[in-house]
Amino acid sequence: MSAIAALLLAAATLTARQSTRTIEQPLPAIAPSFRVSHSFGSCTVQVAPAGQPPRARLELVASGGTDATQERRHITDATQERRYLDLCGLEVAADGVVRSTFPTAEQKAESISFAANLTLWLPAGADLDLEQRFGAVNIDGAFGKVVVRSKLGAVAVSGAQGDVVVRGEWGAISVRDLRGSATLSTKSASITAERVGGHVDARTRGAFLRIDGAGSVHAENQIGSTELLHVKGDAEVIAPFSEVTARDIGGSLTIDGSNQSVAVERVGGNLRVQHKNGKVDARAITGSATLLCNLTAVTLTEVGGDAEVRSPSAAVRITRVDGKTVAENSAFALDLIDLRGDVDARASGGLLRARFGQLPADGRARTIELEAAGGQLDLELPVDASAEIELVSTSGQLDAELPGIVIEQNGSARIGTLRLGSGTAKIRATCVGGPVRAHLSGN
Amino acid sequence: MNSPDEPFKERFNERIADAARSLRRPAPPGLFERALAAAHDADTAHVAAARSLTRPTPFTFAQVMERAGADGTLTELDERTDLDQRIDAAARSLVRSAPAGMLAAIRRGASSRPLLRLSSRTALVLAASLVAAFALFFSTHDDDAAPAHPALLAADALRQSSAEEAALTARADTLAAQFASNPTRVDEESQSPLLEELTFLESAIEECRDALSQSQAHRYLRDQLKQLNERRLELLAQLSERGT
Repeated sequence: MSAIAALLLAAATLTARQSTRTIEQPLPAIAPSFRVSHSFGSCTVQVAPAGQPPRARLELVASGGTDATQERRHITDATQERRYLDLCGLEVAADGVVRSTFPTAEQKAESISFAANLTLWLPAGADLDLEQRFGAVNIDGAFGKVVVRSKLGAVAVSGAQGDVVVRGEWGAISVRDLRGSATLSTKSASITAERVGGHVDARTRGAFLRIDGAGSVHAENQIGSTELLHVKGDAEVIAPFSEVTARDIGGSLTIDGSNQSVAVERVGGNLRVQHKNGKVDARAITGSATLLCNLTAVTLTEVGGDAEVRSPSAAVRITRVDGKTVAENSAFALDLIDLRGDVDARASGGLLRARFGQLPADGRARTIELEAAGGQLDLELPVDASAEIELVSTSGQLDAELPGIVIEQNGSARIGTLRLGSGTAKIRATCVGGPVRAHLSGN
Repeated sequence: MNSPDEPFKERFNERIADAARSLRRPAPPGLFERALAAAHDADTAHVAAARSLTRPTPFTFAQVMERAGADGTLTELDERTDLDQRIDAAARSLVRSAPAGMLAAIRRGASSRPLLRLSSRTALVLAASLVAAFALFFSTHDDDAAPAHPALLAADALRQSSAEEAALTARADTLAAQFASNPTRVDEESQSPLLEELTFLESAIEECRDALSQSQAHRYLRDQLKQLNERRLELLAQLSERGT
């Protein structure tokens, strides 16, 4: 029978394209932390099943003893491969250090290709420090603190109870269901974080960055797109050349320096955006909103606090702001719709349009200052407005369809005054060198 | 019923008798009887053993006779002094050359044991022969039909991967050359991060190639290299687009 077994083994060795070898080692059960070093293959870490000791298994495969590029496989291939695999090893130290070892380049026939997949079964709660080169990392389980350093390989971590640190270079990073914080950085690869209980610090250069579910966030991305969803606390994004999408941010949100579009929706705290060029669309901001832009088209809708929008040379549209609104632009339209607090708006060379559904919306005295320089000004008031109104056109182009308005000529300027209702709100609308048009809604 | 070997025996006896008669001196008393008996016994034993084989015996009766030196050349023995001993030795050698018991045992073994219960030596010889046959087969046949380990590319997939990489690299290098030679190219703020990214990417491609030089059929590294090359091509296309 032994001869038959030998015969079958020899036949199997020759019919397979590669040679394989598996090394399995027990790991110290009492080690509080494990330091693992591996390369040229995947590394998978799982929690050891109940009642089973921790262990490590290294699965090796080698191919191409004579010439891996050729079509034919020689009997000497298997010999070369086996010789190489016999030189590979798995070192385990009592202090929890686990290391896969490979022969030097001089000990390997150039034509041999090989791969080594490492699987670890560790005790739950153990800390893990893993260094990986040239392979994917997959860590799944209720481990403690997890640190991964990876080169040219994707890293996935899930279920850890402690803080997680992943420093990758060229592989995608993905973490989910973490109880602690996550510090994630790559040179230029995508980052995805889902359901992280603590703070997420994510930094990449040129790839997709997505965080869905985190305690708080600091995200940096150079040229890839960035998406933040469901952040309980504050979030900060630095994305100079990156599209940014942020929704359901419980705390404050700060976005700095984007040249691409920014979309923000439902921010529990304050919003602050510094933007250079592109488009900003922000809505449902519970706190205040400050948008300091340059050539950015801005749409800001529903702000619970104050709003400040400055975007020279771009269109600005601001809708329903409960607090004070300060707005400034030039050359393009500045639309102010249903603003409920004080207003200080200045447009240069463009069209300033202000439309009020209620005036004042909350029955309190409000001051509304509108100034258009070199453009034109259009004012729409509700029929039940309560306001004292002063309209000024320095060029004398005053078109007011308001019953009872008194218009005076002062040099080339025309000034119209009117009191509607009890005159709770104070409106002063001035257009320098251009026309002013005022009318009631529906007219 | 006469045995089919009877004619041979008679001829043998006759030749011995003729040889004896031709002697110059009288044969010792009893010589003929002893020689005849020994030859007859040997002959009978050999024929019995030969018949017991399941396949033809390698010795013909004539060969046995020849080996005994009793094929008629006894006439030349008359100058020798001890014809009696020679005839006796010839008869004994005939008995040894065809041991009936051994042949019978072989026959029993061959007919009752299955092929797989051959002796270990025979099995090893057979195994070695089969391994050699396998080796010969696999050294001259393409092994594409054999299953491949997922961690390493098979020869055909490796060829395809290398070709794809070469094509991607060539396209990217062409774009890079065009971009570098474009006199209208300006290092605008928007291009700066792309150029920086390109530099990073090219260093990553080099690292990946270095790693692949140690394990050229490594599937994961091949996939990584392909992604990096595609990313480089994409970046160069963006840069070229912005530069024009």
